[in-house]
Order: sequence, then structure tokens, then C-alpha cells
Amino acid sequence: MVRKLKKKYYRYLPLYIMMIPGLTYLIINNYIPMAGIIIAFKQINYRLGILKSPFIGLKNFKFLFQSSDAFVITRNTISYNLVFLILTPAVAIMVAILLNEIKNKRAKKTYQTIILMPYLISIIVVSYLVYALLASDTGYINNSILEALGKEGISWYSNAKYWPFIIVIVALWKGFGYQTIIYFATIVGIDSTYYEAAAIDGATRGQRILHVTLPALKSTIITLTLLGIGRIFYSDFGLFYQVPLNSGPLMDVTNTIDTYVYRGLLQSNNIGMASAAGVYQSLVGFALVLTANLVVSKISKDDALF
Amino acid sequence: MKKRIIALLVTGCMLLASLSGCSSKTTETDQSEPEQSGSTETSAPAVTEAASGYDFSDRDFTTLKVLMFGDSTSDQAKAVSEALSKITKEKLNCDVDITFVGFGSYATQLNLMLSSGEQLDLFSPFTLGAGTLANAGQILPMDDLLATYGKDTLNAVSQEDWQCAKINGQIFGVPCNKDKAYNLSFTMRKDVLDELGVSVDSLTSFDDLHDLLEKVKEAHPEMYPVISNYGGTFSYLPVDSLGGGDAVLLDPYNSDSLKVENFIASDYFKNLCETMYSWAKEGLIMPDASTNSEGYSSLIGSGKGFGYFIHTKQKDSGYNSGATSENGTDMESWIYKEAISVTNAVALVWSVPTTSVDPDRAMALLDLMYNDPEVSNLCIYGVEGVHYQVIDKDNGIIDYPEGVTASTVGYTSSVAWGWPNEQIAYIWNGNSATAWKDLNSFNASAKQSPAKGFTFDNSSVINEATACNNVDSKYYNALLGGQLDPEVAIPKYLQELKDNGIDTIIAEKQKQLDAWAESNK
Repeated sequence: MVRKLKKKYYRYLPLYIMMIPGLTYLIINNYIPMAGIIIAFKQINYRLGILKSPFIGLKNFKFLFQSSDAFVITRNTISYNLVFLILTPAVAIMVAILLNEIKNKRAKKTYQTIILMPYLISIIVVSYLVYALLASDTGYINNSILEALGKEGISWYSNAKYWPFIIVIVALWKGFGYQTIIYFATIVGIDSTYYEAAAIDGATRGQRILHVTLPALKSTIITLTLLGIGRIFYSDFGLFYQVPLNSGPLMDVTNTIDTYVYRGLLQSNNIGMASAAGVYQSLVGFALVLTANLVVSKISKDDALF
Repeated sequence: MKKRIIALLVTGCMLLASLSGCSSKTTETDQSEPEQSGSTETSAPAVTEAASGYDFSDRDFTTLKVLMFGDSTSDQAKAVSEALSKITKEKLNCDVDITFVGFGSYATQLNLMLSSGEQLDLFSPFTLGAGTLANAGQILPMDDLLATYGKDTLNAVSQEDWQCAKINGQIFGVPCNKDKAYNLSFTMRKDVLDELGVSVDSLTSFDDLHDLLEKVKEAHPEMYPVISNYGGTFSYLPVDSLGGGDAVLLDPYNSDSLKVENFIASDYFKNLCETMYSWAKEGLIMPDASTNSEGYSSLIGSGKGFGYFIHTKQKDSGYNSGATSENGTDMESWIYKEAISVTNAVALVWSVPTTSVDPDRAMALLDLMYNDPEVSNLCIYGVEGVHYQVIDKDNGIIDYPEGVTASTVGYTSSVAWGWPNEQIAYIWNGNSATAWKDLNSFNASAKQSPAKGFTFDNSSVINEATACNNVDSKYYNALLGGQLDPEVAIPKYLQELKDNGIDTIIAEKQKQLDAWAESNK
């Protein structure tokens, strides 16, 4: 028994050695800073240092729930993320399948690059691209499209009703390329004999996609969705702060937990309260991931993360 | 199974990665400068005796690090540091190392330095504000330091100004000896004014300004008549904000009343918003004013703007020339509300951080900077013969050396007001030789707010303040930029402030203010 175990470890030794650098990085970068969670429960005084600063219990968390905006920011954060969680994979899978159908190699490579491009652009640049489209007096939409149609220009940055759509479109445009590449890689890895077998059985192209490609993508979809659920209480700060140009009238639909914390603490510079918000977000995310994983493992055990 | 465990680890790590990134969200964006910076700050010739020496020869030789805002190049800052070190080596047994950080990133950089525990010995909190730093224990109380190593400074600064630098009864910074009051003005392009044949002196009310702006719009459709500065249409308004926020003294000009009130509920605010709303409808204010991410100087400089609301210093010297050199074109200002001095106007201070290697010596260096003309000149203007030359010895007037210009000098003299004491330094050519006398009489003649000297400690209402900051960012700039209909938006604004505890803030401020007034009787 012992010998068997030894043999097993010996066999995997190179793999364990290869893990060391990555694990060291994770421990230093992700586990050690976890001790900083205590900042969320303290009133930090730099003269006393983190450890000696007084404990104030949950006082730092209060501001997140006391405000009349608490509901709005939670609603915005969660509902935008839910929409992203559904739409991004839908678009990404569609594009990945289409990419796979392209036979010309050079065209395929070109499309891949173009699709990934928005993901690599800084959000600040994106915010100016959006501004170039939406600016009241110089923007492309007001100047070239609405004017040509004989319609009056819209003051985009003062009208909240358009922004749920604008945010979603921008987020999709920026984010789908990355997921497309992941799905595309999975599709490429599907054994071509499945397709041949299906073709011999007389499956049409559509049927092959529906009954071979999609089932093969299932575990990738579940993994990416589970990871997304873990971040459901976070929002892309740049997307919600920079893209609407921090415009006040839009805040009912653009204020999320992250931007709320940023705006509120800009003046007071209180790291205790900022950490409290971070702890709250991670705890909720962690709980959600565990729950979602539990549900997944009940339905299809093989696809659960753990 | 193994795969599962690794997957679990990876998931855990991803969550943590997001967690660890959260605590640094509170960086600060740049705010408008507390001053309209004039590159041509001025001074009377140095007459005071050099500061008395404190003996540090028994301590280890060290290097003191000084942080300053402004756009000097690191080469030139090094040259000045070396020249300064020659003096301090003798007097304080130390070297001095001055680092410059640009306005845009100063608050962020400073925040990082202070939080990381990096050595820093002397700096100005600038937009971060001494109050928050003091509450977080990031700067040292200076009463004892001043009594031992800063006697000259202690005597040189007026009691009134020390009041303004006190936080919970202790001094946390030495106030800069600069203009301590501000006018509220509309600053505009002189060439356009001349072209339209309008004189600034003919303006008496916002109605007059309105007519002028209409003319500007007609003559120059390519210009926005009123522009905003990074989203803000007004820098200050004629109230005493008592340390910031919506709880203010409504009429510090004419009344001695110390009643704290909600500014947003005032008639003044409502009328102003209505005026701005109608101006915006007429196209007199730049569209999307509250989301404008550019400063006024770049908009004026590129010919896209005509004028902007700003606070300015005294009328006679360095006042139009400052705006002129900032914007690269001749500017003139119409003062619509005369000068007032509130705590905020004096609250630009120099402090010793907790991370100083030797607070005693840092204090002594600050004492030297405040009282020694040679040191002050070095800090403000750089090295004689390299960055400036004296052209009028009697009056202490200086100018660039031959062959050097503003764009090639590399050491900025435009932040003279930000150094501890510009008044003992030379006067830049172009200003009147009596510039400092003028400044002093400006400071003395300005109206004083009845609450001048009061500083607000918001730590007991931090949750309410945080929530109200958010409400402000939703409405304040958008209303003053004329983007929202005041009839609809102000009632909503007030309701949200109420829901988020503005009344608690007002009550707390009133309580502190009353206690302050009681102790200052």
C-alpha cells in the first residue's frame, strides 16, 4: 500500500515541481493579503499600525446598507451581471460556431484577431469611442444619423433611459471576443469522428451543431458561468464609471457597488470602509459560487467544479 | 478527484484575487486647484534675518524627503535639491531631496506614499486635506515640534491663521503664507471682449453677462460661451461650506449668524440653477458640461471656449497675468462677488507625516523654508543664474536668465503659492514692486466669515457623509451645468439628501460649530 502510494507520487513528481512557481505566486499574491481582511473591522490609524488600530466591529459595513441607494446599486450590479452572464456566452458561442464553419485559414485568423481586438482596448479609450458617437453637439449619431433623418439630437449623457442598452452593448462588444476564443478552442478540440458519424446518419449542418457541438461545449459553459457567478457582486469599474463619463443624471442606471464606494469615499479616503465593501462582495460571491456549484452537482455531477 | 481539488484552489484564488484588489479603490481624482495659480507670484525683497539655527550635529547625517506638486523636471529638481543641501548640510546636518509630482496625480501619489510607509518628511496635503490625514494618524500634531524647532514660524504666523490649521484643538500644519481670501469671478478672453467692444467694468450683474455671452455666441459660433472645468461649472459659490459638503453658512458676507443650513434648499442655489438651465437652453453653456473631462486651460487654449467661473486673487497684481499664462492668451476677469476669507482659503498647509525619519529635523527644515529668504527663493524659483537672474536688486525683481524661457527652464515657478512662504522671496518681473504689500492689504481687507477658523470633523457622521457625497455627484454638477430642470430635479435632490441623513450632518456640524464659537468667545 505504502509502496504503491510512493510510486504514485514518484510518478507525478515532475508535475508537482512544475506547480511550485504558480503556487508560490498564488500564496504570496492571493493568500497572504487575505490577512488584510481585518482592516474591514478596524478604524485604521496609521500611527498605531494595522494590528493596534481599534476594532470597531461591523461599523465599516454600515454605510453600504444605510443609504437609500443601497437597493439601486445592488439591483444594478446584479441585473447587469445576469444579463452579461446570459448574453455574452450566447453571442460568443454563436460566433465561435460560425468561425469554425469558415474553411479559409487566413480569413479565420483575421476574424479571430478582429473579434479579440475590443477586449484588448483600454476602457478609457472605449469611453472616448462611445463619446465620439454620443456627444451632444459633435457626436456621430446626433450629427450624421439623426440629423440626416430630420430628427432632433438627443442629449445622451442626460437621459438615463437609453443607458441600460448602451452599457450592455458596450460590455458585449468589449467582452464577447475573449469568450469566443475559449469556446472556439473547445470546438476545435471536438473529435471530428462525431461529426462524420452524424453526417453518415444524415444529420444536417444545423442538427450537427445542435446535437454534437453544443453538448460538447456544456462543461465549458458551466465552468465559465460558475466563475461569472462568483463575480456577480462586482462590476467593471471602468464600464460603469468611465463610459458614462461619471454623468450625474445617469446614475440611477449606472451606479453599482464599486462606483458607489468610489464616489462616496473619494473625499474621506477611508480604507476601512473600502475594505468592508470588498469583503462583502467576496463573501456574497463565494456563497453564490458554492450554491451554484451545489445545484450543478445535483443535476450533472461531472460538470461541477468540485 | 485531484482535478477537482485543483479546480477548487483555482476558484478560491480567483475570488481572492478580486478581494485583494479592492482596498485601493479610494484614490483621489484631481480637483480644481485651490488657487488660481499665477506664474508670476511676487514678493518684497528679503529683509528678515535668517532663521535661528538648531543644532543637529549630534544626530546621524540623513536625507530629508520633500514632496511638492508642480511640473518641474526631475533633473532640475535635483539641481535645486543639491543647492539646497549645501545650506542644510551646514545648518541641519542633512541633505534635502525634493520630488515633484504633477497636479493630476499628486493626491494619488501622496496617498500611496503615506499608506505604504515609504519615507517622507515634509509635504503639503493639498487636495487630500489635513483633516482626513490627521484622523487617520498619517500626519503628526505639530504643537510641540513648533515650540521646540519652529519658534520663528510659530511667531510669524498669526493666531487667526493657526486657528484655521487646528484639527480637534491641535495644529497639524503650517499655513502657506499666500493669498488667504478669494474673489468669485467670471474669467474670459480679452481679444473677444475687445473685438465686441465690451469692457469688463461695464458688467454689473448676471443679466449683463448674459447679454455679453449672447453677443459672443453670435460673433463666435465655434466657441462655447461658458465652459466647465473637469465637469464643474463653478469652483466656489458665495457661501462658507465649513469644510465641504451641503451644510453651509448661507451668508457669511453680511451676517454674523452661525446657523448651519442646507445649501441645496436655499433660494440662491435654486435661482442660480434656474439661470444656468435657461442659459444652457439658449446654448450659452457647453453641452454635457458636467461630463466634460477637460480643464478650462485646454479648452480656452484650443479656442473652444470663451470664459469660465473661477475664484481669483487680488485684482492688482498677478491676477490677470496668472490666468493669461495658464491659458496662453490674454484673459480678463469680472468679479461678481468680492473677496471673502474662510477657513478653506487658509487651509493649504505643510505637514510632517508619521513616516518621517526625524520629525524634529523636518520641522526645523520647514522653519528654514518659512523664514530664510535664501531657502525660500531656492525652493520657489530654483538656482540663481540657472533658473532666474536678478534684474533689479533694489526691489528684488527677477526674470529668466538670457536664453531661457518658460518652456525651457524645467523648474516651475508657477506654484509659488504652494510653498510655505512666497512672501519672503523675490518678485517675478511683470508684477508691481509692491506686490506683497498689495497682497497683504487684500488679505486684510477681505471680508471674514464669522466661522473662519472652524474645522469640521466628519468622523462621527461618516456614513451619512458618504451617502450624501453620492447624492451630490448625481445632481450637483448636472444642475449647475444647466443639464437638469431645477423644478424637477431640486425636489428630488432634497428628498434624497434627506433620506441619506443630511439633517444628521447639519445637526452635527451645528453642534461642533457652537462648541467652537463657545470656546473662542
